[in-house]
Amino acid sequence: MDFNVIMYIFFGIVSIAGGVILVGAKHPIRGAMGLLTTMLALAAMYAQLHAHTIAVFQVIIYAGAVMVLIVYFIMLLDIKSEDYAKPFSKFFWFGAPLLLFAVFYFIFKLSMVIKSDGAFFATLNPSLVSPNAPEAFGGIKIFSKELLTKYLFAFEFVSTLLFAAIVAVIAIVQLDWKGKSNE
Amino acid sequence: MNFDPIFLIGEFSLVALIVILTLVDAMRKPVFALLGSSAEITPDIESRNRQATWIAGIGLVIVAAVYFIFGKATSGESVSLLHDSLRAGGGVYIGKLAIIGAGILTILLSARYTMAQSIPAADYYLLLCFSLLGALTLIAAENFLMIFLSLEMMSIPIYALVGLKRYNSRVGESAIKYLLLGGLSSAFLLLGISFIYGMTGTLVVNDVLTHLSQVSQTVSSEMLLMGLGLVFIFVGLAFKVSLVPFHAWTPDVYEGAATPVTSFMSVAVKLAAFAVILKIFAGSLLFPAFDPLFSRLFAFFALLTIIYGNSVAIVQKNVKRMLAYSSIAHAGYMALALAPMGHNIEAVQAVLFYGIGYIAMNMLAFGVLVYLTYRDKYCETLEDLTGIARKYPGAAAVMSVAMFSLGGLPPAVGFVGKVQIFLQLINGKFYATAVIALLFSMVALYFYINVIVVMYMKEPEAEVANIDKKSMLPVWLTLGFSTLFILILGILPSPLMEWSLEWAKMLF
Amino acid sequence: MNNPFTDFIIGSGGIYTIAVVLLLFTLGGMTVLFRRTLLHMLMGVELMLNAVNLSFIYFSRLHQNHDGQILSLMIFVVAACEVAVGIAIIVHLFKRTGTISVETYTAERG
Repeated sequence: MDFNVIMYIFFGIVSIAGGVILVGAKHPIRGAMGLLTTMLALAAMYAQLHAHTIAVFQVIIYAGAVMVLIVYFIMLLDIKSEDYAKPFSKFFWFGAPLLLFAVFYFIFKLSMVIKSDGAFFATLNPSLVSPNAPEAFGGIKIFSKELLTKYLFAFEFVSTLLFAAIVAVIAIVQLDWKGKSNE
Repeated sequence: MNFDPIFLIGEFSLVALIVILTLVDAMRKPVFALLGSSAEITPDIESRNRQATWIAGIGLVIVAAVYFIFGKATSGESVSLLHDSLRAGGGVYIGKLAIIGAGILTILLSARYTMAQSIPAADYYLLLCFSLLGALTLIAAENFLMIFLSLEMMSIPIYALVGLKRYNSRVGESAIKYLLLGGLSSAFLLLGISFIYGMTGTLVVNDVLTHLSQVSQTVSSEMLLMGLGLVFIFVGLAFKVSLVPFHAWTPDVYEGAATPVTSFMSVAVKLAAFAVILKIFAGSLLFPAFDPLFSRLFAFFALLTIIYGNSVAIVQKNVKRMLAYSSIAHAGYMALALAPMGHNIEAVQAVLFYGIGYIAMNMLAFGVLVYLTYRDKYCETLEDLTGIARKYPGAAAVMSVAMFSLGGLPPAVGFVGKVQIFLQLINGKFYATAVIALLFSMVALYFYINVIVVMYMKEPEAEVANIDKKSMLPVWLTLGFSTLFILILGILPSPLMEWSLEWAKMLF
Repeated sequence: MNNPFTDFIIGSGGIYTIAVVLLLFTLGGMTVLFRRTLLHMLMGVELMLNAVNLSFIYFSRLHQNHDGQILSLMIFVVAACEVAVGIAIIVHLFKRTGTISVETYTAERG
């Protein structure tokens, strides 16, 4: 088997392991580490899938900025230990197996259907797929060109969305400054 | 790329308003300097709030006027702009005007709210404007990327708006509940989009629909994944319009949020999300492989929603909570028109008609609750309404109009809307569904009429408290405008039918 | 000629990737639905969005257009916004009640 294939499968398993840690961990900080593992493994998978730019952003923005924010606030809030006494709600013990069963059943069904089709779904629509990606695909140059021409409006729109989020945070934080006296 | 800015004049002027509001607020003393120390600075906050209210209110009226005048030129043909990002012109004109109208009514109601609660009004109006911007682009969105971004633009400010309330310790809870379930729903929407994208290789809605109409009916992996994708998209949007069983957030959030915010959420957000559902599922392109599935899905969820919403609303003591359940039930009625799934334009028109009419009725019902604010306390329960007819005959009268319209009695716009929806069901031969839905709208009459009975027939236990007299005029404007809208279009519905038909043509 | 990895990607790697996506998505959903601390639930939403990102990037590689990659970049930004607003609300709640366990918030009425 090809080394790349093995690594791809390996990183997929690592990412699922990170997800399991997130669900099962008692303390949020462990969960955060699990999530971080998932993110880094996914970044590796992105790089293999020719999405180099996104892989870099995944490490910088997601694993870097967003996770640092979350971890910082987990530590800042310094929650009492009785908050973790019972980490799961009472629905967990029958809800979780049910969900997992549904997912595995769907995957099983899908793989059966694919087998009976005789073709994997990627080859069902051959006009869309040329197997080998060009070298430049997913690189920063071609990616940013597409982002700033075809998706220019979305790009500007999302910057407005960031502004909206800033205003939202400021509005909520302002409530605390005077809120106590009014209660 | 030929791009004529006139097509986006509504969005551009709204963004200009946002910038002006931000700059004006930034010119003044920083808010934390005001809020930090003691009570004698309260008048300053009040003047700030008054200024922000004036700017936001007049600004939004100007936006509406600019869009009404300059956008009129675009209402002839529709074009797709900026590499299929947005569709503008044509019937979208009507939809955007309806949404901006809902925004204006909300700001008029909020004037009183921000005064009474002394929250930083500039932020409040900014968030409202952002949410409005999201709703405007959502109904015009032409590819899935813009649908997702606009949905987030519409929701994220509302997460914060729900939390902006002072005299209640439970509001943060409803805000975080809404945020988490909203995140869940957008994840569902995105998973659906990703499968659809995977199977078709494009994000443009019309191309995707063309692909879908060509999928063969035999079970294949392509069909399986596409079906799963469509179901996930439906689930994600059903969260936003709160169909049962995706309604868990609705009662708590509607009750916890400030009344003007609740009214905005229940009309504008719902209408915009329904426009997207219609665009994806009810357009002219048949998708033969999935039609039976979605016909059943819509009928099932709509009936469930109607039955649940109406029967739980009966036992509510809190009027706001009752209206929340009633808004769940109304989403059910709107989804019901889609059940025949004939891809005929009348069904789309019926839903849009109902949605636009619902703006006026719900604004009126919530407007009365805002009107009856006692000092530091919003009128929210049935006891607060007991016997108010003597002291405030005007409020009681318009509340009765709202209840008639919500209950679907003539001569209100709600009656016409319900008739159209039931006609669609009968055309599509969904007789059993129609009978059950009709039965439950009879049940619904009980709690709507009950409000009128309580207001007119019951003696109040204590004397009716005096209401707060601050900034009455804007509330009266809202009440008057909505009442006129309901009554005139209830008696002469043809203009609204034409408008909604025009909008429906766009989504087709 | 294709290299083996490309063969894998357009072949049996498809069902493997979809399995990973669906499993991560379910794990994230379970975190949101069944955990009791708010920060944990917020991380669950992040996990779900990550799963969706993998799906987009895989399909973007298959179709060799950048639409999916750009959409996943937008998801990064939206997720950051949601986390920022969510954490602001959580801190606000923590200051009021001194806990971030949902148990205390679910005193249900009617």
